[in-house]
Amino acid sequence: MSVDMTQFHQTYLEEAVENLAELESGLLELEKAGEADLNAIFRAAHSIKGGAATFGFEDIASFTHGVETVLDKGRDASLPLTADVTATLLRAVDVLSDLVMAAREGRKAQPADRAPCEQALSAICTASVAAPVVAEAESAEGIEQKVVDVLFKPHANLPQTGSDPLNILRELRSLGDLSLTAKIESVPPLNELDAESLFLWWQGTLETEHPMDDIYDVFLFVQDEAEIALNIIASMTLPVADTQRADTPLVAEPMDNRRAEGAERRMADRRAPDRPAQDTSFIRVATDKVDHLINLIGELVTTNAMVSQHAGGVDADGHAMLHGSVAEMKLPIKCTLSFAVT
Amino acid sequence: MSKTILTVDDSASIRQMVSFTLKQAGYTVVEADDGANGLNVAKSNGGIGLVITDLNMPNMNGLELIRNLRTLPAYKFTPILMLTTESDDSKKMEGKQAGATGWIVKPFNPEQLLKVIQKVMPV
Repeated sequence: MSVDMTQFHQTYLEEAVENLAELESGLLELEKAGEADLNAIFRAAHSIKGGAATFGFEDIASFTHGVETVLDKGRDASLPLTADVTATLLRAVDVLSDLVMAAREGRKAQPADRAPCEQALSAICTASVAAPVVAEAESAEGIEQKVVDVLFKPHANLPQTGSDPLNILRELRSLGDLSLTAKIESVPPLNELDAESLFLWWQGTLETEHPMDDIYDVFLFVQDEAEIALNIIASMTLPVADTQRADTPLVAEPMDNRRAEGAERRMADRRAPDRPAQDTSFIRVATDKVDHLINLIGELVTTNAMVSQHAGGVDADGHAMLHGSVAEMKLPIKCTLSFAVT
Repeated sequence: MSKTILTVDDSASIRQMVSFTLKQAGYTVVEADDGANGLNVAKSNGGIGLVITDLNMPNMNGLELIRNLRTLPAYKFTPILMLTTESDDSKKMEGKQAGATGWIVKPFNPEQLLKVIQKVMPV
């Protein structure tokens, strides 16, 4: 869904002017009387910054951040708001007014006092910590198919923060092939059962191509209200090239040198990084042997399915173990099969 | 029937953006401009399925609102999302202790908002 954020600009800028007035009057009061409602002053700056960041006024957002940091420290008394500090904050309000006015008139402003004022603000918060740089470690190494052992044991009071464990399990299922067993041994007898508490927990496996971060994200809101264990028990990286090659038509028409070079580069691009061209070697195998291999794998798949089915009759502990080993079997079989077929 | 969401924020522009996004996604929206009004709206409106609240607000702040809502039988298990800023790890903890279900980190865009709502109140 796309939402045109510019439609909210007018409201935001009007609001920013009001917040600026509040900020200024609060600071003037602080300057005169030595005390003021610091929460209200902070809230005004916080609002200006929050809205600016949301609606795309990066200039205003980044500048207000410095003001907000000083006020926040003043609010929790970790930084005394001396006359000097208040004077700097009032200077900042002037800079901020210029920025907001310019935004209202649709022009870009570069108030002369901006940089010195920013320096003064950051000098005040000597202890201010630089924003952590989040490195995007995006791997292009192909798709990592894996089987993850999942344990999700929510605390009894989980429902009381509005979290529904079923929503979490559904979200987990949306990531891949999920197979879970509900553990019922902590459920008390009916006459002792507290209907508002949770006694169930779950264990099983998730077969997925999603990175681990996606799986942890499912539990983001409940990580402190549940025992959560995620362990990769099997994984295999499927080279991207293998999955793409099938639908890439081979170029058969004659071509001049330049085009041939380009085509070669394209082919090279499609190769997975972990399978460089010089490492690829071929062996000749009779087709009946390949057929035989595929048949054998087929039988393995069938056996795997049968074991899964029979496992239903085993007791709880045995079931979990059986289930684990069957799940472990599934992925290598699948990968071998797809490898043999291609 | 479409699901009703209560959005509580003292900033009119944020409220406007949240409302617009939610309505466009098919939700019914009720608004309040601070915690005290939010609590009144919540009490007088029976069909609210989710509450989204800012934390820094005059009269009654977001944490107080969450605590008050959790004492009402009708809101004991209702998902409540709080709007917070990135640096606020302690605020997240405080919010959870007050009874919040989860949080939305500011600044956020409409897609992120809908994604988090989907997480705690799937259609």
